[in-house]
Amino acid sequence: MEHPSILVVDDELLIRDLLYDFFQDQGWDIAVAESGEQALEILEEKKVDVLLTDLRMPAMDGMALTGQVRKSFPGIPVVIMTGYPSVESAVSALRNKVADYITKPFNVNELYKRVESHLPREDEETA
Amino acid sequence: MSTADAMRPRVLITDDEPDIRNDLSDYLSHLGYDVSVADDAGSTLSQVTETAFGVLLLDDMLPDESGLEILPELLDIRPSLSVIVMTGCPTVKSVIKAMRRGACDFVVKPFELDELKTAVHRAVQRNRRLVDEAFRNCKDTTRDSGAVTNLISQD
Repeated sequence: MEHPSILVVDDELLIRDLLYDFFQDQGWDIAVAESGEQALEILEEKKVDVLLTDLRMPAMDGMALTGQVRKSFPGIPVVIMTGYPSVESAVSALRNKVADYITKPFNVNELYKRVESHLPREDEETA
Repeated sequence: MSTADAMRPRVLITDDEPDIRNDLSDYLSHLGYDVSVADDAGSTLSQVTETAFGVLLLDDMLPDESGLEILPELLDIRPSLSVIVMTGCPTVKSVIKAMRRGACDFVVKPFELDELKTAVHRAVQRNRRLVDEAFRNCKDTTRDSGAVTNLISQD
């Protein structure tokens, strides 16, 4: 996979900018959205290998977005990030088949390793 | 074993507290599951190796080794096993660890029996889906390699 693609969803501009620059430097094809609704519009038009979303957002939160992605775009791994971690939301993420749950503040290299581990493997893509 | 017995989903309960093992075993047996019990990590590993359980209720705190520590080994032995981790001392870190190690659910003690019933039902459905997928993949591979034709012609 030469240029993996990622969609980052966060209502905080600072996080979107940080991750945009970081993933672009790593050679990824990155798109950003500031809301769950905008993320779904992007997914209609663009192939995405991994979705990285904030949990707490106005209107559609990260868990609701995960539910929509499961229904309309099954197979895209969803990674949740949150500055408000709790046992309840982590269990809910597990039950909703979220691929990973990352707490903020994060080390961006650690986050990268986690996200990269959820990319579809080459043999899965060609299967 | 009758056909009806063979169709009952197999559930293993691992907990070092006898009261919990017995209560859960009675409850799940009453619901129609084929239930076995284990009281430590070693016994869990050997039972999962010997028997095709569909669901494992795994306490995190065991006397010989933590349930979360043996989780990857259990899934290496039975990739389709649905593991529900149980703990009385939940932390965000332990839920994340369970998620990354392949658990399908996490329940916090003390829990309502209804919550457990729902979790086990969901875990059984997941196990059946994974077993079906594995069976289909195996059939496809066998057909592609011509092994089915060979097996038939050998008969």
